[in-house]
Amino acid sequence: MAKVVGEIQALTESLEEEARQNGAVAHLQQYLHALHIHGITTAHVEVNQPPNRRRAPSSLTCSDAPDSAIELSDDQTSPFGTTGAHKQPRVIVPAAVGTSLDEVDELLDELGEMPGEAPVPPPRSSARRAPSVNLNPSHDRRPSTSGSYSVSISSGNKSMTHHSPQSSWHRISHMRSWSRTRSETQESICEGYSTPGTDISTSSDPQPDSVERKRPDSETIGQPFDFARLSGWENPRSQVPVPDMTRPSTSSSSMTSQSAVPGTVRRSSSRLSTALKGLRIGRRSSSRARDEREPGRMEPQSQPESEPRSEPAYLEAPRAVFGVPLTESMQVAKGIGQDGYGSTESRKANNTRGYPLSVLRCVYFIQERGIQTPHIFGQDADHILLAKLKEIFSSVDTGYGKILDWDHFTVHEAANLILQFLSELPTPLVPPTAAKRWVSLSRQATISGSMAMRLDQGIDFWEEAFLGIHGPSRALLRLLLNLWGVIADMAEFNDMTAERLAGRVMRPLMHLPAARFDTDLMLGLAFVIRRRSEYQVKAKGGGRRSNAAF
Amino acid sequence: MSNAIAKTSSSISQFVQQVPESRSELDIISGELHSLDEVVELVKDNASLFPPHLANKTPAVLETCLAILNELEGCISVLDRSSASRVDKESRWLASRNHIAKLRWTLEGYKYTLWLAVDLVALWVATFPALRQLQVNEKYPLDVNNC
Repeated sequence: MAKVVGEIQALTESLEEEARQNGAVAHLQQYLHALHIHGITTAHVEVNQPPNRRRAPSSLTCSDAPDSAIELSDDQTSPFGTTGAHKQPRVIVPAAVGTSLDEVDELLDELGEMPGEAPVPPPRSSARRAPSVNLNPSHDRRPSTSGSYSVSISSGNKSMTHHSPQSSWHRISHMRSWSRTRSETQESICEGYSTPGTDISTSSDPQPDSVERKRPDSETIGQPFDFARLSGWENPRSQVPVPDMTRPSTSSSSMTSQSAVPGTVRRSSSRLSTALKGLRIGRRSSSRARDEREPGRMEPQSQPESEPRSEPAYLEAPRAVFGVPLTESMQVAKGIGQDGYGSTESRKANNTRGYPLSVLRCVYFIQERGIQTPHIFGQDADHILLAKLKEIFSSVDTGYGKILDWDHFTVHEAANLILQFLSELPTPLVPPTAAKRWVSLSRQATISGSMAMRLDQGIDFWEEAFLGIHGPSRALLRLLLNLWGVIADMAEFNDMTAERLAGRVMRPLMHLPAARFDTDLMLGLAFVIRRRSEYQVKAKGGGRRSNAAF
Repeated sequence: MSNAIAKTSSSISQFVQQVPESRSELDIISGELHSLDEVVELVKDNASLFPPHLANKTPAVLETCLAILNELEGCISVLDRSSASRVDKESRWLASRNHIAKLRWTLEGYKYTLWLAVDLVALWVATFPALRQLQVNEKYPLDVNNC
């Protein structure tokens, strides 16, 4: 109720200036005032009510409607072919004072990975059981609200004037220009966003040539090799380490690796860590039951003696990287990259995330060589080369992409491989609820004051944009949005505006049917890409404004 | 109201076929109209649950919203006159974009307000489920069918 009242108040204030000149808006403001009074009265009575009488379940038809003016309801005409409503649980975590948003973001990832149901509490001991108390008050005790309404009704009748439709509309002389309000709104929002994103352009200097020469003998692609001879990570990014096999591939594992003592309780509560441990144990047992060895992993040089290999890695059957769930693909081939714009080296070291190796390598390649390439992500690649590239990333012989000579491929193959990976995921990386939320966020941005109001309520833009997307999916989405944001920033060189990018990537991203082109979804995605570009440029500093900004 | 929304949506669809350059903005308006249709249906379905003072004011709000819709539909119809060539329609569209954007802005405000009203009524009913039995609106009927 407080949220709704806040929204009403904010909308009233935003319309105040326009109401002086626009009769229709003035009329609307009067209605909002009545809503505001009603909301305050209801909230006041609700607070004074006994606890068991609050929020009784309602069979109101509008309870099936969106919870607020923001969400759109799912219906059967969804382009994704889903039937029935699918509502994601809403998790709003207000940022605590003094807590960095990097930590909040990681906490959100952890919350997303927690078990869906709370653990069953232990039964109460008989000594602690309190006698049952009848908490049902009589109807007489419930306050009557009719008296308060009568006052507003009488005042409302007196103040309400019926404007004839035509005359009220002719009184509209001028309104604020859209571009000015939009730019003001966007600038005010930009300052409030500090959710960490994926920093592709890390401080490490790329040394493609020197790293490439350190490769083992094979100069051509696809030759078998011996894992034991590999000296290091073949990647232009020197800070792409090999993931540790002993730890599970979850985002929370990045924090665990930083603690010296295994099983150290992190900053979260002991109950949270216990739940996560239980989750990890469950995952370990299920993965071990599936296969005892995981040949496709990027194994470190020093393997523990307690886990001897039964046979060489390149003789084992390759496991699927494409067309499987994201976590499963990352169990086969995983790369680790930085996530966040940490100012200190320690923060950068702590903000690492796991990504599918194929996507990570392609992103780095495009970042270094393809940002200004005309029509990057905008044109199809050579299908033969694309198939070869996919084969490299799917083959155990090449270490699932660890051995790769980019000289044989162009950035278009890398871009199309990313899209192919997204297309072949069993579930879309961006679920329909998130896509629709982006549409509503883009529309709300055009209403002045609404975004500022939402900031006042502590709702971070990126928190809402990524609602319903957790764990590796969220990290991967951030990685891709950062890449597309950089590309959109260079649109004057590559002709790929945010809208063009969105039009090309939205189908693989959201698993839209080929015959359908939803303009709303495209514009929603373009809006998010532009916001990401703005955020990146601002986070990097330098006083420059993103070329992709509104 | 639903008829007006459908008529406006139809006019927009026809115009977009003539002037594809207007698609990006008019598609947004189509989405707004769809959302407005949803909220009007909700208001209609739950008219009996509105508290009396809101039930008294809501028809006037819907009337004004209808007026804006008619204005928007009128603008689109004027732009899409059969006597005008495609080039003329495009130039008229470019000249009218700001005005139509203003109409859309106002319509969005009304749509959000109606959504807030629906949310508020839902919360109010959830807070006072017994008040649903009083049917106060028997004294202050909310008639949305004539809007």
